[in-house]
Amino acid sequence: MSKFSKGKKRKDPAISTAALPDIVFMLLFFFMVTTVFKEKESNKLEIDKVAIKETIDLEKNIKAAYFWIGRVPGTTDDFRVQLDDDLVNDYSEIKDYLVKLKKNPEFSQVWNNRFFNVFKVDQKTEMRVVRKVHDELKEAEAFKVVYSVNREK
Amino acid sequence: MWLLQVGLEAHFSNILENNMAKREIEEINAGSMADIAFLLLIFFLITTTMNLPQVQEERLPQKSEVEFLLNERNVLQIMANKNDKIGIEGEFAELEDIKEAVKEFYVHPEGTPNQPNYDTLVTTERCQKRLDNLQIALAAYPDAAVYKIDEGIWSRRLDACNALIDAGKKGEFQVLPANATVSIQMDNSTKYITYMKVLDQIMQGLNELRDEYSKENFGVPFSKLNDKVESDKRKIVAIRQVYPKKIMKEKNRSVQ
Repeated sequence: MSKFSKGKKRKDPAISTAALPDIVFMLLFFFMVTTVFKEKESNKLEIDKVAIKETIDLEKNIKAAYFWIGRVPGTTDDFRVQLDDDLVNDYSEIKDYLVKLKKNPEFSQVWNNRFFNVFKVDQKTEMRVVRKVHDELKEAEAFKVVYSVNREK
Repeated sequence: MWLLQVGLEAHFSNILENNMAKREIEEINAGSMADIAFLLLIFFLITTTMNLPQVQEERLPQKSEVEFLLNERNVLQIMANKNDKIGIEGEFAELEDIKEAVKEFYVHPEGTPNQPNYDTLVTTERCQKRLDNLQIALAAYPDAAVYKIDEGIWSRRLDACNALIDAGKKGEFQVLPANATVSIQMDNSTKYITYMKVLDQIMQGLNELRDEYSKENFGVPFSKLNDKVESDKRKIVAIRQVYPKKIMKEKNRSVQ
């Protein structure tokens, strides 16, 4: 009846762990390569993005100012603009913000080629709001605008 | 008898060996594990495509109060009113019609009514002559911005001609006059989605023309050219000279 007979007791050899670092590194590399950092999302506004066919990739390693235009969730008020972290109360704040940004040497060096104004706009927004922001950008001489969109299949 | 003994011994030793094998598991050789790992790594490296954020770009114009007077035939006017209805050249139209209108604006037989007349044919000799003249002009007026802009335009055109010649084609192409442009006019109450869709339609039309032209001259569609490769980049620049993106946004006004 004894299944655990003394005679058959044997010692398993240790499994070699030499290949473990390889596997771990492989996984690491895989995730390093495939990970794309999640796009910055607005925490204050509700944004339903537009889907279009002809899109281009946003360049990497850019300096950018982020604009969100949409409604505060749960309300039907006017469309509001969020610039980086805060809601804009008066449009002239945008110009002040950009002028301040331009004084930073990190930004001023790339102002004309690698500085982008990234717009994430709700599809129901009226053009008047977008225009007012554009006017402020022109005042601050920040001319490059990209609209973040979804790609339509 | 002796033979039997040998036979028996062989038999017993076989049994003995079998028992031994069961007791000791041979260590698996892990030397090739790294190879397998690298193989997988390389496979994923190659097959994984990165998902970059997708955008539509636009360059805002300089702030200016100067009013441009444009010849009506040189402008393709696209409008959207406050109810998001589209108009092309003053007539109501569907969103999908924009693409064809844009294609016709860029490519049409010479002398078609209400379409721009082509500028003179761009050739290597003409570019060279123009650049020589501009050099003389710039020597006299080194600060004249107009000449500098012109110099940029013509040197890019010369590059485009050379790229065509290198591909074994005739180094010449037709261009629209400098002031020919697609004009977008949106009402203040037009929805942002309409604006994006209109821009999308214009780019679709333009990119279809670029694809055709690229296939004809370089054997590859425009969308398959990679701007990270030097030889491809030259082609992209050349095609952009032939079919430039020309979009003008008109000032706020109420569109009926």
